[in-house]
Amino acid sequence: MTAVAPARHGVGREPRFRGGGRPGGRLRLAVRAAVPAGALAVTVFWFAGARSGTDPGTVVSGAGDLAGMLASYLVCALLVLISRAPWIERMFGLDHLVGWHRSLGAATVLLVVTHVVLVVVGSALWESTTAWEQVPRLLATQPDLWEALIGAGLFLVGGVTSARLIRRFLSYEAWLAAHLTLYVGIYLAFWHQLTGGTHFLGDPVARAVWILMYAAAGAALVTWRVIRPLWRLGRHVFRIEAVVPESPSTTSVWLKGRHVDELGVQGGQFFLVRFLAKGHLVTAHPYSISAVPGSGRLRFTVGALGDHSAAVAGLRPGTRVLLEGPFGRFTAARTPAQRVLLIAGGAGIGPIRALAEDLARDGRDVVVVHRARTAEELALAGELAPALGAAYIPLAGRRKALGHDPLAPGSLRRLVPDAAAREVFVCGPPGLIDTVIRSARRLRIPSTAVHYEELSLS
Amino acid sequence: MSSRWRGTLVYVGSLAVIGAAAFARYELSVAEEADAHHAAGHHAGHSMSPSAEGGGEGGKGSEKGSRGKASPAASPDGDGSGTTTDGGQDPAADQPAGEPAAEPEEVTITGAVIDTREGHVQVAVTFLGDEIVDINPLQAGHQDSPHGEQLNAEALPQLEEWALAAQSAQIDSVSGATYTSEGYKASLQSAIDLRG
Repeated sequence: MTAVAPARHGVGREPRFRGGGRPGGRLRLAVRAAVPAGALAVTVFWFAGARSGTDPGTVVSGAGDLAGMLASYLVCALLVLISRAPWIERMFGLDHLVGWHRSLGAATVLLVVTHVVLVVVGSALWESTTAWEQVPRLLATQPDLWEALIGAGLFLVGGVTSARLIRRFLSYEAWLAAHLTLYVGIYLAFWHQLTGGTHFLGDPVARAVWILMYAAAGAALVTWRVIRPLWRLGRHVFRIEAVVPESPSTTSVWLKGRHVDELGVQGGQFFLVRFLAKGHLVTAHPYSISAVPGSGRLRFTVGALGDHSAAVAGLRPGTRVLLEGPFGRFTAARTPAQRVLLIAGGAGIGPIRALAEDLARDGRDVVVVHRARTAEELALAGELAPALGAAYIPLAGRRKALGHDPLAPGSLRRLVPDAAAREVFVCGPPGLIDTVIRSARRLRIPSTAVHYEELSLS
Repeated sequence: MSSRWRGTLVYVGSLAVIGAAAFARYELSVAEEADAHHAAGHHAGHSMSPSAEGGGEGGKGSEKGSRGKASPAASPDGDGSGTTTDGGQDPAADQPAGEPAAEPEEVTITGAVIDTREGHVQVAVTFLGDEIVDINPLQAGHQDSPHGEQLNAEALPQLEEWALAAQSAQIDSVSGATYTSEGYKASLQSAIDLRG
């Protein structure tokens, strides 16, 4: 697994308006409603063109056709979700988009299977054969069906390998390879829709719309996942300037490039970072910014987990870096609240530190609670302590050694007396985030005032 | 936080949508066929009268004339279009639609309407004594597609030629027109069975 620093961010519930509206709330709703609206449109389209007939063969086949059309529509929605179009990302956050991609992906694969089963069974009912006999007959008589079958198989493989249960056993590269074959599957399965579907034969408008749907999804992907990063590479030319260990378990990577201000980076955001060096080329890691010091520099502070520590520490200055982003809504703009409590664990200190700087510059009252196993693990303390003074609260020591959890509600209240009146941002390992969420609830901090970011792009 | 089961929920939701849509379409089809049946019922009444109404000949492209029930023993196409669609509705139509016309032994029998993937297929078969002398396709599927019409224009004459040569429905299918061929043969067979 490649979950490296920061281990996890998470977006809580949608923050409600806190005195003054959040601009674009209605737009977000509209975009959200667009997906089911499209599905409804597809259903109506199916209804209008479905074969009339009351025999079981027609009914079952028709249902199978609808399942297939819905799956096909969802495929396009899935592609748009991971296209990383900036305007969508700004509205929902990459983590949300990936989460929905996962959910809808599961539904799509299930619908594809449903479609295949229903169409075979329906066809068998027509011709009074068993489903098993019907399959070769269909393959022999329908155009493009072999390709579609292979495509469906690839869908199944892609879907199964992405299931949480299976994913655990796969390396990232293996999972990625299986997932990329989905593109092939989509291509193969596309053609039989136009030639085999009763809805498209003789309806050139419908055909055009369907093709357009796929073309648009494909274009979004190509634009924002291929063209844009490459263009960025040429424009910004990021290179590693220095690699600095901050603590036994964290390392900072300084990048230098041109026109950094064009990126519009805010504290708390992350990039998908791909080091163009041997051994790093395949994976793009989500790394959060820990400082935007200006003069064309960016700093990431990376948590070292397992074999990645050696990998990052071994990077040489001058290596070119491909950046995608900035992504994420874990930013100061998230809330207008005047008083903020930032809680960091482990490598989560990176984005927290950047966020603290932004908030402080904005004139807000910031308290940072920094949790680590030992005092040496308190990375970046040297920057935060002088800047924040008493508002920086380090909490070092294992829970067993301390005898209690410093982030438990009582302890937290003691450390930060006005915690209940603060907006909370938390970043760190999953366990820490859960603890903080629970404590916040006990301290009667509204759940809309607790922000975290879930970051798992696999 | 994204729920683990959100995807499955979306899937179940779509199944519900598919089920509802399919059901609605089914209901619509039932209503359509009920209307058509009423029309057929009237015409079946009329075609009881002797002579000129060689039922089948009049019935181009419609469901007039009798809807023969496919005889269970003989028809390979037990998709039950005869039974299911007629089920509970019109009983009337088991009889040959034509009365013996000018030549005492020539009779035209309308075969069953066969529902295929490509639409309805129905033939009217003219017997002279025990010999099949003519097969007239009343409905031939592919109603909505120009490509289909061309297909029919090629397939139907071929099927008729084979059937007349074989004097039965045990003939090959035209490749590329599987469904039409199967429907054709089934309807033909049903007419043969009705003839007795």
